Amino acid sequence: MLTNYGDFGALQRITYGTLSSTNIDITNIPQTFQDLMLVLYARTNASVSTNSSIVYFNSDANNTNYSRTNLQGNGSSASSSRDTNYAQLYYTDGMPGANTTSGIYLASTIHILNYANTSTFKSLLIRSAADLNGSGLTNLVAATWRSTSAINRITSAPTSGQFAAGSTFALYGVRASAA
Amino acid sequence: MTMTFLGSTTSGSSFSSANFTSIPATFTHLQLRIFGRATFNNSGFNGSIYLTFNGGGTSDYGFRHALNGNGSSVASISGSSTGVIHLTDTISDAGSVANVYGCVIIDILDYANTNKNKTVRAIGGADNNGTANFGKVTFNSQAWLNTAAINAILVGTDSQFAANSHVALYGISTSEVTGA
Repeated sequence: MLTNYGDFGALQRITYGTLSSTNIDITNIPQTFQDLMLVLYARTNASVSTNSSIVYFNSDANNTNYSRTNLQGNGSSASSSRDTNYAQLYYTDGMPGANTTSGIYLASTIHILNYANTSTFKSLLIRSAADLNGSGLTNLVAATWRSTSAINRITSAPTSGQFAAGSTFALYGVRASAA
Repeated sequence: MTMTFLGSTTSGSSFSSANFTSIPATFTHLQLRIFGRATFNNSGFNGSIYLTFNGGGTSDYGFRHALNGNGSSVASISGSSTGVIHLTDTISDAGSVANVYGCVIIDILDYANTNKNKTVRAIGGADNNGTANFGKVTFNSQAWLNTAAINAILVGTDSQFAANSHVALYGISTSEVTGA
């Protein structure tokens, strides 16, 4: 799936795609970068107002290796919550579904630092937001995948349904070496 | 937008700081990307990142502000300058679960403009799966009240950076056409 390389200096596009009732499964991720950055612009085709998405790494989706600390604003109040010992990582709270205004998508950026290091757990920093002209959420998340494995595969899907038509994603690598 | 790698510091053992000097003034913005863990135990708080520009000058650092979430509540905090850019609760520390590191991305916009004071913004955090120091996620901002172009950045933390921490500096160039 590694196609369409684009080069923005130290920021190199590994792959990208347009989704339509499909999900994300990026395999054979090169181990040559310092960080990864996944950019998602998406909604779900499920018959819901909003839902979230899950992401997991290296096919690890049945254990309890994911956790997150979330800071969220909904337009009237701010809150913080935590998920511990989850089998997958939830990361796009407030993603629009089929029952809400058409044409509105959630924007999310996931930073995965030091993803190829085999001595440390993997840390993520995630920003997500969707505004529905009267409701909506903005989220900042710190998350951990408790594995020292290098990340070579990223899989993501909505918690119900699939990514709707018009959804897009792109995975970038961030180099920490001269070009 | 184009990113240019300017330098990084990492080690298989702990190290005290990352020092970037002779930073070219040719980019639009600077970005620090830090994967870090402090060797100091902050007893319930995440570790902090400290920045010093152009070799010091303790009177030039403005009030700091931060918005953070600890998993159950939200706090907005501020503090007077301690002579550095102080980015609170951004990485893990010695009280965190073993092998857990935090990550923080720091943007310094228009760093080479000699008509403006400099504003630093950072998002960061570390998650400990509900144990140890629990973890926080934060949004920080602080000003450097100096119009000089930034040509050097010293990056420190509480005591030292633990082994396998990584501090990298990038120059960001925006498009003259789109501004992006």
